[in-house]
Amino acid sequence: MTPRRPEPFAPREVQLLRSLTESGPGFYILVGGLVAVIAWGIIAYITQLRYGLGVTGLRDNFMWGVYITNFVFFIGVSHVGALMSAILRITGAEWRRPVTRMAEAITFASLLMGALMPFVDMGRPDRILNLFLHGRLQSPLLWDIMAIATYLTGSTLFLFVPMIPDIALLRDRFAAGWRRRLYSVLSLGWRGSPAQQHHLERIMGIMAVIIIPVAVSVHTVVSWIFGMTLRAGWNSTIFGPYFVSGALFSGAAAVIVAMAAFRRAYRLEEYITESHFRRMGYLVITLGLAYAYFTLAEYLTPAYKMAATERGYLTAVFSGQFAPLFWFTQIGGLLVPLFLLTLPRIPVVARFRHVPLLRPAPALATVATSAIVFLLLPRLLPPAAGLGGLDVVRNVPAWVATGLGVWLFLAFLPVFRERPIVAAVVAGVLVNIGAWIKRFVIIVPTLQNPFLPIQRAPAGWAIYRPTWVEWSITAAAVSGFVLIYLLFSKVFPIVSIWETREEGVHPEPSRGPAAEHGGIADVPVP
Amino acid sequence: MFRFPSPVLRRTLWVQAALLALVMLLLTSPAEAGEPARLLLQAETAADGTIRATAVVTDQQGAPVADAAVTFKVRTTFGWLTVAEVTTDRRGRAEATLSTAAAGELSAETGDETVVRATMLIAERRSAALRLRPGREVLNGLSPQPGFISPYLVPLQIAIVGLILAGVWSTYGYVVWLLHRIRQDRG
Repeated sequence: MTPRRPEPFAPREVQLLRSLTESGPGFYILVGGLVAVIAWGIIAYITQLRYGLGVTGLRDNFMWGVYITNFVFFIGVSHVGALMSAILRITGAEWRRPVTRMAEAITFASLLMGALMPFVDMGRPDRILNLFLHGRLQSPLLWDIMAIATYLTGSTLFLFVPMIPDIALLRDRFAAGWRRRLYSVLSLGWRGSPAQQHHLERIMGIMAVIIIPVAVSVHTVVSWIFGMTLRAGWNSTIFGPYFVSGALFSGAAAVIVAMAAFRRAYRLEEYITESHFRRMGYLVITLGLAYAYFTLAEYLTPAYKMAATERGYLTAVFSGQFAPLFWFTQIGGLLVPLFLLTLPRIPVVARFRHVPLLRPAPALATVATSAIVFLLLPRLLPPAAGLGGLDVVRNVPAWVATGLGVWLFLAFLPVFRERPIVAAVVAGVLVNIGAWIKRFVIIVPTLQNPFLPIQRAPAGWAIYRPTWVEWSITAAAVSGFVLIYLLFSKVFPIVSIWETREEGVHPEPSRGPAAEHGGIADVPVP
Repeated sequence: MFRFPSPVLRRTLWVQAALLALVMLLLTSPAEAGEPARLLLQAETAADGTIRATAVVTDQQGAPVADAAVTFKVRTTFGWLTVAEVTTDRRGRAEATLSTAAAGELSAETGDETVVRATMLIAERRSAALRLRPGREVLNGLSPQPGFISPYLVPLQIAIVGLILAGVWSTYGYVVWLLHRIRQDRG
């Protein structure tokens, strides 16, 4: 009887590898849904190609809208993978090991989608070549093309190189089929020899160092597309660091969401623990505070002066048409997430459970009742309700809503204290929604307040209203990002096997196919 | 003394003469004194790059019209933008100094009931710059950004951008070469 071949993988690694080949109905439903949204987006894009940009909300003065919002958002999210991974590698942060590949894959997927958006915004794909043929070296737009191309190449290398030992593992695990062929090509004949390990170590050292300035430069150059103009709201000296801090903030929050999704879907509880969410939470808090500081500096300086050129823009943002969006980004996308990541850790929060009014049920019931009253009552009552102080009544809900929101938040704090991962995910989702809206608020109000008055244009052109075409293409871009990310996790392990082995949890010593050619787990980390 | 053969003929001739006089009066009625009838628009570029536009308003007889309001406009993407409103002096001249942004189509209008308008095309200054040797002094005069960041290619700028890109991409090349070494060292 032939002795049973020992399993070269630890149980958690087996679980991880199982996620590559085993997919439940949820996976297929998700992929089907994503493909359907992408197909709808393609139909929208064909409509745009056929009838021109007139089918969108873009006009002469609004040459950038939702598409460029998507572009800035995706490029921002892409930041975190390379930067976080590189910085944590250089500083030797051991806890990074299970999450770096997730972050690096986010970079890859979001860069692909982000780079696509300006071409969609151009409207005429047949003119794309003109960017290169007639591009001016003095233009930040051309700098941006160069920076993104450089970053995409660098981040792809940065993603690929640490995967080589894992790909070699997979090559040896899969005896035949397309996976075997793919892994054989991509593993570059990795055997874990000292010479190969030496080269790998050197490459990772080089890439970790060079990817940091490249990543910082990309979003700085993106900010210069706006900052190099004299337009109100864009004419800023701190746009570079402001964009970089915002990008890192939203990117780190996106990693938290991805961590939670993969942890749940692929049952990676042994890899991604509560401790990882706590540490990522610290990172998000730090980046969020930096971003809040830059936001304050960015808006306070012009708001204090209220120069004529800035006045219209600032009024529209602070108290005008864009005020709800702007204040949502500041409260919902910044303040609440930071509170969610910090306040539940305060010990006194545990006592809230004993305060009757601070239980979720009364708070939820009151908020729901109030919402019904304030939303439905004005529609049900006749306009002249005989209320002398109607204006006062109209102004009350904003303050009442704030109070109710604070109450609801305090009531749910103990819940978030007991479920820190849920708190981190809610914070991460809020940060990313806020980040997208913030990019919209950066782009559109400025275009709506040009130096030269918008003359002899139809009245509808004065306000930007995205159409179904733009929303469909945006939904398709988000779906494309998720699909690329999802498929990546089905082809390559979403957690680095050899790096997590070095973390301290080694499988039982084995003489499996992987160990026979040098021991992949022994590759040193730069 | 001459007498008309008949009173009927006499009356007919009087009526015809009166009608003729009326028609001539209507057809040849001169413009009211001081009413703008013609507008001559001229523009020249000053040494500092600004554009000095001069409009001369005259009436039907060619006499200068004083105190006429002249509106200077430039064409923008979204239509005609009023850039100056000037009243003519006693020589009928109205002058306005416009920024270089006015390069393009410039128009002047005057008149209350009947608007008189003149339009001209102002060439951009770039054509004049071609006659000069490019250099820092010339670029300084042309560009709101001095020196390095310029609307024209600056060798130093090309060198710096090229150096950065070459540095990064050659590093990538080195990484790819190391990957090739990994493939070669598979034993």
